[in-house]
Amino acid sequence: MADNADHIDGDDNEDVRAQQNLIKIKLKSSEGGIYECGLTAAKMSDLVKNMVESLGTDAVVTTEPIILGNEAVTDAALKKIIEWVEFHWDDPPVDHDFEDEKDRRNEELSHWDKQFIDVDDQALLFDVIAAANYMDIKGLVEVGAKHICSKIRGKSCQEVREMLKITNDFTAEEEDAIHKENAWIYAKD
Amino acid sequence: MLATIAIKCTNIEIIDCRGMEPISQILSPIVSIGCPLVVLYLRQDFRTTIGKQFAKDYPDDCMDLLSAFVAQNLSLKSVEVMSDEWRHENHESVTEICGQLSRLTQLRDLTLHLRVKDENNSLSESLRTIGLNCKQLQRLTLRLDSYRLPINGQTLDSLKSYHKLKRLDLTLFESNDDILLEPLKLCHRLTHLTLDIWEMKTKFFINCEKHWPRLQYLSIKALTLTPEWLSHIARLPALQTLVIHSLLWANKDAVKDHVFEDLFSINMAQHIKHTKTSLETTDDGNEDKDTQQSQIYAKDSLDRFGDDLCALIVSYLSLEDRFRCECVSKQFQRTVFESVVDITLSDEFIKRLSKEKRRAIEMVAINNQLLPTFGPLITRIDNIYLKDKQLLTHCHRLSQLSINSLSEVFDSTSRQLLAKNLQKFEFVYELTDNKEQLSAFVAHNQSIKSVDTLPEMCGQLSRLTQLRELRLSFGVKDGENSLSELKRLRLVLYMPIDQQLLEPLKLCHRLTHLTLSLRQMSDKLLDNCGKHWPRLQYLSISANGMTRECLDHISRLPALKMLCNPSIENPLYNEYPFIANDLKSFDGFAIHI
Repeated sequence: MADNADHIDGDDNEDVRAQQNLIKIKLKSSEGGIYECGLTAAKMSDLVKNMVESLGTDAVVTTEPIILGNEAVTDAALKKIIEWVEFHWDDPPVDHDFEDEKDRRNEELSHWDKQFIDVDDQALLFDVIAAANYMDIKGLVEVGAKHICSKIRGKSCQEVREMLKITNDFTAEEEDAIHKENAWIYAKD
Repeated sequence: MLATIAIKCTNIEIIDCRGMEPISQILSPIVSIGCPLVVLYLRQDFRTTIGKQFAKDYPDDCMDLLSAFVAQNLSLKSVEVMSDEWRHENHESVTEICGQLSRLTQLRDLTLHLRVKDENNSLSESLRTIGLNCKQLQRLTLRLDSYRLPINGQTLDSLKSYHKLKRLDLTLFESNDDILLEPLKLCHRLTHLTLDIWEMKTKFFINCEKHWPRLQYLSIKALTLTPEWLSHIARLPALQTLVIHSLLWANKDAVKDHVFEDLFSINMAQHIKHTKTSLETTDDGNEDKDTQQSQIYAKDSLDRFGDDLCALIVSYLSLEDRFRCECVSKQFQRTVFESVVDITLSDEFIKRLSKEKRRAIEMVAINNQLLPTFGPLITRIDNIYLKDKQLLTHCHRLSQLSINSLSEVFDSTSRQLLAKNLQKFEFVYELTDNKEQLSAFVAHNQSIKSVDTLPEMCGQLSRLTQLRELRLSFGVKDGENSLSELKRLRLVLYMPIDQQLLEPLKLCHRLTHLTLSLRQMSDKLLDNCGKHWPRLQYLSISANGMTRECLDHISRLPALKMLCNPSIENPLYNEYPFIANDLKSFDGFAIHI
């Protein structure tokens, strides 16, 4: 039994993760701001994770900050992102033996995530999502996507366009044709 | 309308017909209208079937196959035909393939990848046949490999007879003369044009604004580009996206300085939304690469996102919202259905569909001959009464099955097992069930990862070494070491238990989720549970006799995130210091307050 217990203590050992998160690394935004972040938390970004793994942890801790060059990674967006990963770094890993993908997709956002992502400044919101996408933080992109979709839910096309500032590039005829095709959606019960 | 859904959601893989019966009646409209579910099936199967036939080098059989296929699917809207990599067509076989395809009068989207190794490689006649017959054709992808032989200049002549053509994607592997591409100038309705052509002449783009007044998307891949091209392209009035891949710039300096300024200044006035330009410049083989990217958008507009991210975001919409949002913008139209791989059909959904356009669904009487057609698509069957058990043999991809009795998966006469290689299985075990049947079933379904059933078969189940989830509604046989891989367990026991019965649970070290519903809590079960279940995240216990000691033990579970306990009657939880445990969710407490 002891063997078994040893065997299952693998890479995902919580203690190791907690200890590693005490190590701080520096991330640099495209605007030049430098921010500290726990190592385990920062590695939620696959981009950062790959960099850390190829450079070696020691190098990352002692040398220059990791530069996130994408223009969506503004100071404000990076601060939000660090706030998110520092809250979520100890989430349980995804279990691929089950069809949890679908369940997870349908799951409602937690109260914390809802408050986190509900920012008034839409430019910042889109920066956070685009930056999270660039940094490959799947969980955070999902939070952003769910938030936007929850706002879209039940709205008309015009309302969606106004809310998300999307340009309508259909002609009136094209739009009518699509409406006709999808008439069943508007049918009353 | 189901057909419409299927047409739009081209990536669909799973249809969930939970609670719908009979499924054949629901799905037959889709099958009979001949829409993408079938197309999806065909895209895979058709290609491999043809590939196989080619591999055996029996072109006659292949044509028979194609002919039969076309005859049975005359309403196909989307077809992709590809030659095998090593296989090349001669003029006759190309003519024949195109002849067969031209019978598909409803065709809207056609992809032809041909390898022609024949001096007489003009496709002109073949393409004309298709153009004349398939009047609905809107999208054409043509990839032509002529094995270094020059392509006949007349090849594309007949494109002018494609009256509805909106999107053209052309890949030519050989250099060509000037006249080959001339017919493209007559396709005035084009909105999307992709050209992957080794050598192109500058003059091709002269006056392009007159030829393609509606062109929104232009993608060019060519060996050499000159700045003059851009000045022509810049005049396209409706252009929104321009993608350029080129190895060489004829005059590199000129490109850097002013050409793009021109392009932008002309197009800005015409509300160009985003120009995604990636240039890779190589100077006579030198590795001097220069990448330029320019994008123009408002920061707070969703337009700034590319299709990939947009598709990811809208992938969280419900199917209804996807349809509602289709006409938000063209980007939405492109992306909104991309991620639909799973549709759940319910009575309500069908009722809603049929209410609006009753006529659209022509319910075809149950036709067992159709079942072999869509059987291979089905991956999940849930509590459906199977009129003909043999149908199961058509469902090669079936991985989840829920039935009432084990005997349903055996042929009544031949006693042959009909469902193999399942991953998830639910059934009610009856005492009368044949032990041999169970044994045979287990032997052929070693990959099962999840079972929901009754206890007598535990001995048999212990042979399923891949098992990750087990739901028992009666009892558990002890001493099952092979269950040590279990990750999730739900145990409902209605009988009095002794200390020994639950001992084996302590060996399930990989448990992440445990639900126990017992009459009486066993005193010793939770002793040292922190060691037995180091990964347990979710614990739900409903039992009498939960003591302070029990909670004490539970609080030592290192990975616990959720604790549900609807039966707890005492106020112990109030004072209990779970904080140290980092619980993220605590359920059940509220019920009794």
